[in-house]
Amino acid sequence: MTTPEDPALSGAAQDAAAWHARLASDDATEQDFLEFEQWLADPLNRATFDRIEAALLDLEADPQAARRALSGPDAAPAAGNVTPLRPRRRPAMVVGAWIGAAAAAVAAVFVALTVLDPSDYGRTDYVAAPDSDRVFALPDGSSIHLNRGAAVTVDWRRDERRITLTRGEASFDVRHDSGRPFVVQVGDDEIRDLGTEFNVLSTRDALEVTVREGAVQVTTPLASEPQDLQAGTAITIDRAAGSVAVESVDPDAAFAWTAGRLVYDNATLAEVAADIARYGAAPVTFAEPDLAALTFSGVLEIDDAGMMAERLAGFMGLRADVNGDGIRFSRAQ
Amino acid sequence: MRIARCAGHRKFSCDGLCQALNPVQNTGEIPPGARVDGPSGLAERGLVALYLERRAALVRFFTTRTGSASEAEDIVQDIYLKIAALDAAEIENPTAYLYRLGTNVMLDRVRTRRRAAARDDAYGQASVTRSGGESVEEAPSAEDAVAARQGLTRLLAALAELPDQTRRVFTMHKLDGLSYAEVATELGVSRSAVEKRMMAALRRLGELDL
Repeated sequence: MTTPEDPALSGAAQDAAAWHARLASDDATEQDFLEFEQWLADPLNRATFDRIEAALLDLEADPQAARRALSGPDAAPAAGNVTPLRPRRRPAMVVGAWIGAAAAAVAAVFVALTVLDPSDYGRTDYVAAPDSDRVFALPDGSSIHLNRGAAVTVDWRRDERRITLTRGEASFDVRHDSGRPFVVQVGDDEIRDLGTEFNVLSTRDALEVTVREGAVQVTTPLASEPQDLQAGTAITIDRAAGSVAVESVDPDAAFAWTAGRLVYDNATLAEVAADIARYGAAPVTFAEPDLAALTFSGVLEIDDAGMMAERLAGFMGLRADVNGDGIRFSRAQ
Repeated sequence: MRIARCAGHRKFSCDGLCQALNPVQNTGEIPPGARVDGPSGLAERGLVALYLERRAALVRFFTTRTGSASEAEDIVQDIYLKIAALDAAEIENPTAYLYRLGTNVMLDRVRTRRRAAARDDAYGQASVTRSGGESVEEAPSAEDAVAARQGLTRLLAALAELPDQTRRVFTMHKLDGLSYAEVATELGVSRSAVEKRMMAALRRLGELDL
């Protein structure tokens, strides 16, 4: 362990660490922050504090590596928020041997005798409860983040990684493997990973795919050719209208839910209400139709649907009545 | 309360707040009905009133913290958006809470910028098409990639060398997301002992690269 030669640097590191630790505590006070602000005025102090913060952010990029580095005989158990994939075991499959018995010319002889390793392959269902989202790690290092109420079936094969999104919304962080495509299937639509981070939102009438990093290829019966999407674009497949639209977007808005937020830029209340309805089991309606056309720009924290509706109503100067039959927006009297 | 109008490309938080609360272009006054009389009534009024009182102090703090006055403004706007969604009645120490909220907002913005930078370098893409349709040539720097990997390796090595209890506390607080109180309960030690352990770990991180 190298210790710095310069006591000033060592002192700054000690103080920076002390401040960082203090401010991360639940009982940090306003006075603490004000004194911290004064300490920050010295550029050396600020640089040292920033270095600690940068190191912590670097660790976020690879939490599994961090856990490994930190683990030892006395390591704390991993938290329950990330669940490794544990596929149901299947008996070993033997892919048979083919012998192409052609005459003199091209005799193709395939001898494919392969025993699949049962520990990696199989089908598993994953579901997120209505009141919490979940992240799942896959054996190849990819991960799936399921939004509340979403469900996927993971079909892990030797030559393909196939995920079926049966309901809801999920974001995928895919480790590229050109020998083993990662395909997300939603009904008749397919999203093929080309090495990416992408979000998939499946509702009753539409499918929306947003790419944050890398590229995907989307095939749908509603378009004659596969659509290649780069980072920063989204495709909306509207089954009800029979249309396919591709547009440039800020992908962080589509992924905001992974941080517990929904972000809107000039969205109609009808759109926001449809989103809120996905987080609750009951319908969202408007007492007067013109209310649905009002526009909203802002950020909603994801919560129980009734709570979200009440906050939105408060913000817009409307009223939200929440009961067992659903949520109704009306004018405030 | 003045809210600056944000122009330019789509940054949802700042643009969203401006549009929602700015029915008259560019003046930035909050219409009386917009927030203060929400369903939680008194509690929201309390936290918003506190925010308004402390707003200048928060901007000053985050200007010092980030080195940028405009970044500080954006952060403090975001704090406002977040507290609007809150039931303030349960918050002890609401002023410190505002500072902590702002710190989280600040870090989220750093994370987003880092991701955007990583995205541009990823996959050896020689050009990146931006939403305006223009192409930007950006060859990823091999030296940067190697340096980043070596930095992470040194970081992980430093963590691995920490004493057992320190590693444990760090894992529980930073990776598992437990509060100091929860870690203390779990390990059967005092909260200040937890804080001291975190300090030891963070000090090691602060000493890297020296």
